[in-house]
Amino acid sequence: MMSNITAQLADVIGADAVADSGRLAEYAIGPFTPVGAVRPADADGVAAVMAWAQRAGIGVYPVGGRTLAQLGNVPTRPGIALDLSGLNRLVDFQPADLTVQAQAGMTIAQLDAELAQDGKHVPLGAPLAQRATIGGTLATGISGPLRTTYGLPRDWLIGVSVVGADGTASKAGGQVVKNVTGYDLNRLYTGSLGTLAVITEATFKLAPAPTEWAAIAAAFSDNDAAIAACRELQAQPYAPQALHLLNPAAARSMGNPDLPSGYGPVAIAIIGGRPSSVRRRITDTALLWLEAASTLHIAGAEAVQLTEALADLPFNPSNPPSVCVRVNAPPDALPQLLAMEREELAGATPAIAGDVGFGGGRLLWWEDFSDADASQIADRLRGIQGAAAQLGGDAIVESCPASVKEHIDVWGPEPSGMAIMRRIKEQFDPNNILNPGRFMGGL
Amino acid sequence: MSSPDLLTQIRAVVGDDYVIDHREDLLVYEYDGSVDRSMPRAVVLPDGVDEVSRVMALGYEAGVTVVGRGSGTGLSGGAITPPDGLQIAFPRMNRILDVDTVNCTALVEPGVINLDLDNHVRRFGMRYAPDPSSQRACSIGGNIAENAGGPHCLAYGATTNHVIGMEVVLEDGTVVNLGSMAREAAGYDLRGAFVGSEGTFGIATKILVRLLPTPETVRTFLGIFPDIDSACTAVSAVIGHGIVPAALEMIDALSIKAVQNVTDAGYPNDAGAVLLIELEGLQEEVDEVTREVESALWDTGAADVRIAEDDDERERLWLGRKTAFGAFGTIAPNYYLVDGVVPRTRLTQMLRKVNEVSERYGITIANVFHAGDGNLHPCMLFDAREPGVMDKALAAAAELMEECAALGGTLSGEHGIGLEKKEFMPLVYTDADMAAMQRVREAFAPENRLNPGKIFPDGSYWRPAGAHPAGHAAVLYV
Ligand SMILES: Cc1cc2nc3c(=O)[nH]c(=O)nc-3n(C[C@H](O)[C@H](O)[C@H](O)COP(=O)(O)OP(=O)(O)OC[C@H]3O[C@@H](n4cnc5c(N)ncnc54)[C@H](O)[C@@H]3O)c2cc1C
Repeated sequence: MMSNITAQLADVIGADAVADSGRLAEYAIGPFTPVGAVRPADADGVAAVMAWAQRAGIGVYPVGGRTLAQLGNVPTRPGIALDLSGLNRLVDFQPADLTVQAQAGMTIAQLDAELAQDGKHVPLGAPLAQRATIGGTLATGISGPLRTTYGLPRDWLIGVSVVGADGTASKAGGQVVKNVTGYDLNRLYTGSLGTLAVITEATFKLAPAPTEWAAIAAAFSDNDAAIAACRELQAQPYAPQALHLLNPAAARSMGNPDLPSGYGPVAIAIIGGRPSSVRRRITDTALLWLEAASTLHIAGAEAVQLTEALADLPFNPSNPPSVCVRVNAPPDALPQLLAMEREELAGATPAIAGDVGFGGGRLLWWEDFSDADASQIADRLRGIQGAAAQLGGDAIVESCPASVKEHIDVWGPEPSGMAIMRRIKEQFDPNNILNPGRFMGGL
Repeated sequence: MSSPDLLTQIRAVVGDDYVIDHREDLLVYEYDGSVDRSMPRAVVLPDGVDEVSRVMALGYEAGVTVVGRGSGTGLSGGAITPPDGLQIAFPRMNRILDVDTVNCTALVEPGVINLDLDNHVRRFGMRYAPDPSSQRACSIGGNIAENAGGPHCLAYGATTNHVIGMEVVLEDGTVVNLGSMAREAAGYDLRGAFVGSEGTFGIATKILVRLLPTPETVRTFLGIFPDIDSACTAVSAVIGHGIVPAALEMIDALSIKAVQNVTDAGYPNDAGAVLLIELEGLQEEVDEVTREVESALWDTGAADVRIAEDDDERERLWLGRKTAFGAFGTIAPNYYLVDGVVPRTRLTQMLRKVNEVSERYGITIANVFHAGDGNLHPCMLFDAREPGVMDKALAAAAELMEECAALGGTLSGEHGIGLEKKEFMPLVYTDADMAAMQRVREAFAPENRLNPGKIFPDGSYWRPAGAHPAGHAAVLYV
């Protein structure tokens, strides 16, 4: 069947764009290996592949920079990998309009570099920006440590081109920063994990990039003191652009020897802006946090690195956590989030990184759970998902051993809108060929 | 369809006093802020999600169309209800249920008036950022449906950026929650899809909105320009310098005249155009940006730059801006405006087109708009009693929309498509683009019972019933 598929794909978009079977393992999604892989050079190629897959009744797994390729449930249907990295051009950059249009396979780092030439940025803050693509960032909706100030990727997307499950190209939104012409499909596609359509091009609005960055890290004696100090700072007019609270295990996992350690939880305030306002924020924050057990000031490039390290922590390929759970919760749930330290997996307690301003955070484990009982771990993770629901949010298991995925929907229990989500999926992909099985409840 | 049976059943749910079906009582529900008019079969005023759900279920069984109504300030015909349809309005569901100062959120019912919410949360040191010029009158439910914008959306984004979760009732009466209490939720972003769906996906019965802290420093200034061209250049200069003010509004000579007729906003009568600019943030930041904005304004030919000395002056400057549409009543009895958007660098070009169209059609056009994000509001002023004038206005509007599309812009920045602009959708979207949109509607409302016949072109001949009386708006919004 494999060679047959490779031959068919070669017919559809030319042999050059089809990976030979030796390379298929690179496109594995956990225990699942696709039966073919293509790397089209443009949206027409994507359309041709989709039309073929629809006829052939075969699954399609869109692939970006493969930084989050393991996200989601295990695929349920044989299919091909559709590698978008060939669509990597900057289409249109209008600095004076504060907009940029680029193809989906362009990496976030490439995009950042183009924009930086003109002092602009699209503050997506995606993890592993060197490899993460625009399309992958939008499909996962993944955001970075600065989300309190800058919001989520969906807040920057103003237009999108997609290829539907049947190969039909369409677009939503446009090139302007304000637009209520028709329904907001930009937001629907963002975070839909490629289960509704394949994103081929995106237009973002831009912001002026801060000219200076700094950070303050402070260790506190215990959770109560840390939470009180963070809340007080968050309520100030000089509140930082981001404020994260790490339990000692999470602070250690940052691998940064300069971070205050050996005390209690560590708060990290990230500050960006014009030099005058950065100075003011640093001074006032330091004064407010005089009580902290230990404080570290971080300037310039090191602050940027620290921000990137925070973004990368859950996905860092050189030190990947064995289990990572993202808890979406309102800010007032911070104490309960930190109390999840008691949630043990096979006896191991998690590192916890909370986002003070935005709410929620991540639970991380680095222990090797390969000998542990997968169904028991799944039960514990389900418990965390239940606890997150009690807090008014939800919890997504962003990574865990494949054996555990057999026992759990990593996206959590079905939300109230599940029936609508199902109908949306049926409308956009009636034959379920786009990323089958990977998203919530089999969407 | 319009069986008295249905209304009897609905009365049993909401109470006799809360179903309106007498002709004279229905008069105020037959129009909104647009140029359309149609009298609904009846208007229902439910209280609480349970009543909304039961009313919707009854309507669904009876096969009737249901249209939600907020305050009726919509400018694209969103709340216009077909003659056999039911309108559901929310004057009784106007409670602010909760304000949470840790989460910076408020939980509100759909009938809460935008400005009432903002005023209420100010006492907690917070604010509700989306501030449509109609904020004294429009409802949060209507804001959600239209994804309303406003001057301060330049920096803070439109309504969709400020909605965290919603309780909504679907066409068959089913109640669902979209989003959650957290700013991000697993699954498809149904919340994001719902906002801006113009009442076609469901009826919002509770809304959890995000609040922002009030800024330390606010500075408001007026850039005074000899003509609209130089004011447009100034807009590009400010944005191009990488400055995104909290608000950046344009008011042209005719609008200045109209405003100054009704209130002394402090706009100079002899200016060709003024820019109303607001900066917010830390004192140091605002001071620094003030200097940059000032020099950008001088460099692009400003005749004068004035900074509001105190809150009073600041409020006067804003009152002028927010009164403009009402004030047009002093120039002509009727107005009709277009909500097009262009990339910001195309403003000069677009306004030249507006001018040209105004001259060619012999229609007065005033411009007061959200310049910072390229969202125009060319406002035609006329006397609707003059024969043929409405046709002329509509033809002129069509040309302006075509030009917006041609310049890489779009039909609507904040007022929605509704009835008014639906036949123009092909200017910016292909059939495939619109088919994708329709799929989402199919999923939310498979029977298409909510506000049907809006947004998408269906070739049905649309003819407005009359022009909106500008004087009426003046009473409402001054
Ligand atoms: C003078 C003037 C100035 C304006 N300035 C601005 C501006 O600056 N920015 C801007 O964005 N708009 C502006 N508008 C337009 C208008 O005020 C907005 O569109 C507003 O959001 C409409 O709110 P409403 O409560 O009046 O809704 P309505 O006009 O009553 O209804 C609008 C739509 O909302 C739907 N709807 C109402 N309630 C619900 C609900 N609970 N659930 C679901 N759907 C519902 C209706 O079916 C309809 O489709 C202006 C209008 C006027 C007259």
